[in-house]
Amino acid sequence: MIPQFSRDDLKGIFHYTGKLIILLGYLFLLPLFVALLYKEWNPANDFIFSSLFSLSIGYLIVSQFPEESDINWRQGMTIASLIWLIYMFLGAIPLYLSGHYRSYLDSCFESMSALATTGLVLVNNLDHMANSYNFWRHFMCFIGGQGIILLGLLIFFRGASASIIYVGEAREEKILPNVVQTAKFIWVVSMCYLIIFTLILGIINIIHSFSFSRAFFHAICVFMAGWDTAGFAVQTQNIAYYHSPLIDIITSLIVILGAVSFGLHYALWTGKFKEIFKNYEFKTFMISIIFLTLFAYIGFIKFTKNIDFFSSFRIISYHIISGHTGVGYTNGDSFYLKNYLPDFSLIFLIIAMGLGGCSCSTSGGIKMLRIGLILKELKKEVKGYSLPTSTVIVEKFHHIKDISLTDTQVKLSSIILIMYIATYIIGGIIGTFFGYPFLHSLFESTSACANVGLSVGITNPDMPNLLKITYIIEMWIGRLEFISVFVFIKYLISLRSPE
Amino acid sequence: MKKLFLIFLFSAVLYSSEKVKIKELYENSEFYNGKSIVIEGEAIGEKMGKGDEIWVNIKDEFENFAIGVVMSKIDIEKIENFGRYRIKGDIVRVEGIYNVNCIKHPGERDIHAIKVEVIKKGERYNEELSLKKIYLSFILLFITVFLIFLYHKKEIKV
Repeated sequence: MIPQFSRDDLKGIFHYTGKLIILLGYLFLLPLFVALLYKEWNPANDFIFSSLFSLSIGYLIVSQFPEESDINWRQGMTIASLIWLIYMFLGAIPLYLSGHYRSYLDSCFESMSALATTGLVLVNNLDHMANSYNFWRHFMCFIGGQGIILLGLLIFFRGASASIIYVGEAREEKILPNVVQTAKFIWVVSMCYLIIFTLILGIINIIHSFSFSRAFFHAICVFMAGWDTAGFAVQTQNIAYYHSPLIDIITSLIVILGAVSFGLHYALWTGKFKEIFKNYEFKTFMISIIFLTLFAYIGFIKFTKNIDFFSSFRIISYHIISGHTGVGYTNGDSFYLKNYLPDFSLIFLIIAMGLGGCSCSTSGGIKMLRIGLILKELKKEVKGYSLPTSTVIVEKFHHIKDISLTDTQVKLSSIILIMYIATYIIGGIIGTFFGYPFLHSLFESTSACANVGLSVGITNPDMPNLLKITYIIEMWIGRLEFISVFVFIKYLISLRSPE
Repeated sequence: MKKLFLIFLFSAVLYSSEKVKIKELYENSEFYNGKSIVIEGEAIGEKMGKGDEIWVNIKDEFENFAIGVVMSKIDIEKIENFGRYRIKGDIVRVEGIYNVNCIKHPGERDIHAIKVEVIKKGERYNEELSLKKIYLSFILLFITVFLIFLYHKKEIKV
């Protein structure tokens, strides 16, 4: 029997939730600075309002629950789930005030899409959006991709509480012995790449005749959405806006780096370059990208006429990389995927999206380590049948260090795999209820749940509200990888039956 | 004679151009592929590239659809305003060849402009400050300061 939540549990949950809301209040100061920089007065006021609103709620909660205490697993998981919903509601305020969204629900959708690093959009007239609002959209991708809790770890959480809440946000891997040090490392790596790639993209944009200010504004936004595998872009056409194969290549590199485990980043940063050739998850990821591109390409060539080798290769490889890493950047458009990609290729793109990137990265989906472990277990089982029954088979794999495959790892991986596949299909079925073809609904549902952001055109402001809510839930549970959300739901149920 | 034929061909292409919405181009790409079409929309963002091959993105005035148009330096000089925040871009009419997969620009869905004309000048506009929102922010400021004070008072007690 699962124990009920006590009043003390509630105190801890509210205290830390309040603190994380205060953190959001201060995070609004960055887009406020951008608004002041570009002399965007109305947006500046909207960010002041959003900041004050968040701060007042945050301080109201912590003043009612001022006691700081160590948190347990139930509390940690509940905080992790709850805070993502609260950030969605509060983060949507400036978006709604911008006037670029039809309803508050649409702005919540966009807010969750940014935080969960999905990239599905409901924005209207993005090309005329103020820089500060646009910056906020991309900055939310950065906050969400890095992890709200991860940011909180640097400021609020210490000791055992830190370890618990770290896992609640779907991160299991500790790169360094201490989770706070791990959080610091993840932020340092991200900031270094931010500087490097903002410079590269900014220079390319200047070569493409952008003004200095626009070149670097686009560069920083594209980096934030790319590195955190969100796939938002500054303009309506997404990456197709730039008409540049060079931008395609650089963004592909950014998203692959974003989808790679921070553990591998740490190995590379500490000079262990051989890890890249030995790492089982990375190898599985690369093999998967190559084969899925190949299959999708074969289908494209077979069924699509009048398209030359380079055109189709540029489009197919970009979309498979974009889908597999979970970024959702497109150098085409939704009509292209809907009308030009044959079902055969679309299926491989759905598989790529569903699989996702590497564990402990900014990417979503099932994750390649889990797929690799299940494949290893399959190999072990097959091997078992060909050897004497008394033989003990130990399967090993290399992921930063040599690890022996255990039943627990396989069990957990299988549970997550089943949960993801079930959610992809349920979302797909809900899509068919609204009259969309199953393959297209499955595509959109997978894109939402695996936090990808590619679309075949279902996601638009005219889509039914119930489907918008379905995708919001999918993005949320997909980002948190189910477990903490289930604990949160259990908590809500326990509130109804306090005995 | 050859010149006359080319002029005739060019005029025929222009004459047969069909005015299409950008969304329609996307939805029925195969039908319009390689044909001469006319689109109208707002020039957005910025011009990109140099020389005689410059990219401009044209957005439908009322819908969220835009497409890249490749045009010459002479044509690009006709466009003064590019739409973005506080700038309404020039509304242009572009006549050109639509390519689902451009041979010259592999992987691009584009229009190679033959003729570009500005049909409505864009303009800069100012945003109106909402006094209501400003008052609301002031009220919220007082509430927040009070709550921060309350929190620190309780924290000292704890």
